[in-house]
Amino acid sequence: MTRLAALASLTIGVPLGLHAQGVMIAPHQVFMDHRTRSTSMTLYNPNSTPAEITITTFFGYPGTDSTGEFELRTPESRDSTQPSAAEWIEAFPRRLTLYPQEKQIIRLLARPPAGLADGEYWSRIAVSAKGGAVAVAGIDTTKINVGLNLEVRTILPLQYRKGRLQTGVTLSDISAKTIGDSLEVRGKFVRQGSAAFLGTVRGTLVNDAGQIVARFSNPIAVYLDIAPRFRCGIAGLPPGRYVLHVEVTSDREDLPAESVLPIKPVRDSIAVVLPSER
Amino acid sequence: MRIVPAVSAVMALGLSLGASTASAQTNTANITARAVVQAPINVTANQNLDFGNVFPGVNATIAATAAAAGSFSITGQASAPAKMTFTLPPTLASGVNTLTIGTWTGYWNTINSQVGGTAFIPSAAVTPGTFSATGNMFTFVGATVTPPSNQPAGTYTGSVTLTVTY
Amino acid sequence: MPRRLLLLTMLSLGLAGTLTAQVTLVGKRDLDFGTVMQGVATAVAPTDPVRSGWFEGVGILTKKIRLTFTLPTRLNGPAGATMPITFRTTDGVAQDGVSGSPQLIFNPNVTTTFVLNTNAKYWIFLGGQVNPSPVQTIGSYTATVILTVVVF
Repeated sequence: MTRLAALASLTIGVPLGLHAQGVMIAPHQVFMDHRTRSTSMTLYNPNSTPAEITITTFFGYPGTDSTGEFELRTPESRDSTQPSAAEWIEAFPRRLTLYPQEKQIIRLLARPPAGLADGEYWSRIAVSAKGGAVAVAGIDTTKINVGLNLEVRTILPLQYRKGRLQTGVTLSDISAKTIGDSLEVRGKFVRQGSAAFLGTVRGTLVNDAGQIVARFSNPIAVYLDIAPRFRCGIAGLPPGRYVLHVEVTSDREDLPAESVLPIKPVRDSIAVVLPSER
Repeated sequence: MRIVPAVSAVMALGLSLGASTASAQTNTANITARAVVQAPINVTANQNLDFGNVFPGVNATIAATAAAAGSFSITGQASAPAKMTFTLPPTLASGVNTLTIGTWTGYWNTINSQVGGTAFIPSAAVTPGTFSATGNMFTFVGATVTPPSNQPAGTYTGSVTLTVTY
Repeated sequence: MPRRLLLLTMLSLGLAGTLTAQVTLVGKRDLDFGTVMQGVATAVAPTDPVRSGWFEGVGILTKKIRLTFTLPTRLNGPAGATMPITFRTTDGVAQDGVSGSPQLIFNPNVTTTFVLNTNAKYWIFLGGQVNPSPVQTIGSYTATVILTVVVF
């Protein structure tokens, strides 16, 4: 490259080399109880550069769109019928710098309004992490350099519980259709009781001989009602008639047992025909 | 916490009475070592979007499937859904000068590979993703910069934000 | 203690005069790693004022004490799950039972001997490290740490 060309070139990217940026957050689902009105989260920076952290809360809960994909619903206008805890949950500290290999406990404190009715109240916790500003010292000023700061935001659910709560779920309208090497399974899940249902959906595909030939397992959260879709791999399965069994249970490997509200398993089944041409 | 004196204070005194004071006395106590394991979520920006040298008047594109693509890794609960949204800069700035960046491309996968995954267009709209059976998800982003022929020299900066909703 | 035994003991003490001293050992604080994340090793320093394990003993001034830890290699968790725990060569700290007195670092994995030169009361602090795997079963894990002290 000639000197002139070098002068004219634009260097887009990271002039000083990049380091991974982000933080680990645990737990990934936060539970608070009205008796203690406090809990904590742990942040850990596993990377080699400091991370600037900001923590905020807002109201939201998961739903599904028309295609069955999960979406976060964040109503712009809220009324008192919506169980929001976002306004009275505070994080301490809300801003901090987390140095490499450093841990920080974030205290979450609740100041619920007086006379709060028994029930479950929801919030979302947003944890933003970005690396420090890209240093520009030492950069060749005869070139044009670009440093992109990367920022990651993680949005986690928080559930505040008051009183004795119970949950449940109904399952209906199960359907299945083949899409390539997958069986797309959909169903309607409606929450029962006074708290969101957190559990696991398992599906098993059984052939005429009674053998399980395919299965899927997905964690699920039913705050109100949802109609999600799940994928079950069916590559290599011969065409023909099968039975799809769907089971919803309250077991969750990723959540502490004491935080999971138990239900009796809910089950349903449908007949499925796998076509020869997929 | 539980105290387990193998020889209680009184017994020790009693023993010492019947023996030389030089005899050894043994005490035992215990404590508990405890820990609570929690499942974390980890969203990490691994590699910036690196265009290398770009010439004025010549558009430069880094595909989301290119080695130089920006990359993020996300770890969480196996098979759980996670939503991705992006906040993307329309321009990069160097003082008062700007450099247009756009035509963003994205690619996500359950393994750290830019093959065999799903292409998408990064935006503020939700991109659905799903963690692998081992709780991994990887996202790659690319873009195009369009420097005009009179693009001034300078250090251009901007921010790309990936939001993961769990 | 039955009243008769107590009386006998008091008599014994009276007869023995000051020939013997009370030798005690108490577990004062658990070794608490708190919340740890799957896949992230977490250490507690023996000097951590909140999380380190802490024993308090009373020996005999000018006499030697021999410390032997019985250390777990794993913590026990839900449904039979276990999690490795290790103790580094600097995870033991011995100190006179007075705040601010000098600290002596030792290896808790081997038997160690000290002389109680300035104070009959002593403190033993213990640190350690847990190593949860990336797929470690979530929940509470515990194990017992035993300290045996022989006073010569």
